[in-house]
Amino acid sequence: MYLDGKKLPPNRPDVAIGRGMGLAPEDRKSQGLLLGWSLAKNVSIADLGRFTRGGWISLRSERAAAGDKLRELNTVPDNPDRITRELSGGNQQKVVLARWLLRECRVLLLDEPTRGVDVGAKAEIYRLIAELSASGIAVVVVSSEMEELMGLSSRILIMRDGALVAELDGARATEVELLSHAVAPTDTDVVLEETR
Amino acid sequence: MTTTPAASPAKGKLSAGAGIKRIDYQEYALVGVIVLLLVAGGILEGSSFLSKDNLFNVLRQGSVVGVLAIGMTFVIATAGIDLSVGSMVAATGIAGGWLMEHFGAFESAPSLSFIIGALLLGVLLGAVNGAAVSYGKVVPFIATLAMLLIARGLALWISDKTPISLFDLETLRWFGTGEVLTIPSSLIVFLGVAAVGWVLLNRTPYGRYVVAVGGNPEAARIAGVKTNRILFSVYVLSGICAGIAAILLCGRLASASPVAGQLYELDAIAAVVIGGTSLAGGRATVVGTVLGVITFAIVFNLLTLMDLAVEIQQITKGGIILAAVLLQRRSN
Repeated sequence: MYLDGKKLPPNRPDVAIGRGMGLAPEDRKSQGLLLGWSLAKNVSIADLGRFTRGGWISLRSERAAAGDKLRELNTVPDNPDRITRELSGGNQQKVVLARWLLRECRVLLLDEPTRGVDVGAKAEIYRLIAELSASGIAVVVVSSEMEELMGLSSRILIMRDGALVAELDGARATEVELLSHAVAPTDTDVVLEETR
Repeated sequence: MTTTPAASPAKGKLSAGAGIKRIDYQEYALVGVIVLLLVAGGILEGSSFLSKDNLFNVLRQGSVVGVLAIGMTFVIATAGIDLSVGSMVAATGIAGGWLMEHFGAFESAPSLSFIIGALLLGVLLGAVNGAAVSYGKVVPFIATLAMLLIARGLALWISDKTPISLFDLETLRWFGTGEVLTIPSSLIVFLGVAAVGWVLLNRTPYGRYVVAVGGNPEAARIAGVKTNRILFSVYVLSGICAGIAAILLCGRLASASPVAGQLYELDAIAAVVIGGTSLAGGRATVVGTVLGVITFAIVFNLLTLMDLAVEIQQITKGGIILAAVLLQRRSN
């Protein structure tokens, strides 16, 4: 993977984050959040340096900044002292997003951002992705929901069996087109020949 | 213990931070236990227990395990364990004694050479533990069990199985037996280490990362925490604490013994668990550990004053540890 024309070392999220990336993983509960922690701590974890003076974390400015981001995303509840486990799936996802908004990353990788998220929060996350994108952040959404991709994307890249097979214009792509690339081989003959 | 109420949005304010508060309750409970023990001890044993001399003596002796327990709090916060601290106390003490005897440049300051030797070997042994656990992916239980043997073997080997006399090291002995304004210097060192530990754990990014690695290593990694580096570092911290504990213990006994510190790891782990730090990682409290150390020290002083046999004391100790872990399970 390349960022700004420079290769990122594989399997080093710390380096990628240092270079301006953010990642909202597919499985929020096991990979994204510390469920027993307060919302504030989950929001600030990737950018603690911002609140640290002389090695000492300012808990007050941490809480305040996390609260601002949570309110910005209409998280319910937005009290930064609440325990993350108590929130619904959609609101937990917003906590992950708030983390990367706080960090002001330039590239945001969202893996299945609306999985396990209720309809209302889904719409809100879509709105947010559009806003982020409009503000100049490159948002990469990984999704298996086609309407989601067509609604959000300016470009859609389709991968099959670990390889890139097609690139479509997000505004003009149709469901049939997407499916045909995702499911059926683009050139049936070639594949048949290989299997012979 | 307390259970977190199922939060409805309406009473959000009430249950805010419930998961964090739980540690506080356990700390209040421990303060209550300590007060009860003091009252019970006063009734049972009277002034021989409640005298300032006796209590300060209890705390002076408890400080050795206390320092170990602070390091252990960080290790357990990452869901690890360090079984080697007792052996490391012996090895670092012997290393200090060896450096004092063999390094001429320090002749004018033998205590300093002892302290440097003890701390250096503490860092080294801790680094071996840390490297095995973090980069070597060895289960902490096994890695530190191996170090339990290695450090004990080193202590016996370097010392040729004989204790090293430290009788002439006045500064070192001050750490073990001296006092400042009638407060034992060992206790001051212990509380100093605890204060540093508290700040590290609660007020620095480092402490946040330590608890994050214990709570959910994958989430911590994806949020950019250098998890291997954190894991490595907590074992080094524990090794340094073993060196400091050796300074206090050898200072008190005026000698470094290769068989010192046996089973200290269990006392330290017990104090940490009773204090409320979760063995599963992700939840740690230095204040709780300090209270756990004090509780344990008082209980054993009382058992000794009541002339209970050593075997009864061991059974009691094991029972308390088991009860503490069971209580922790239920409160989770």
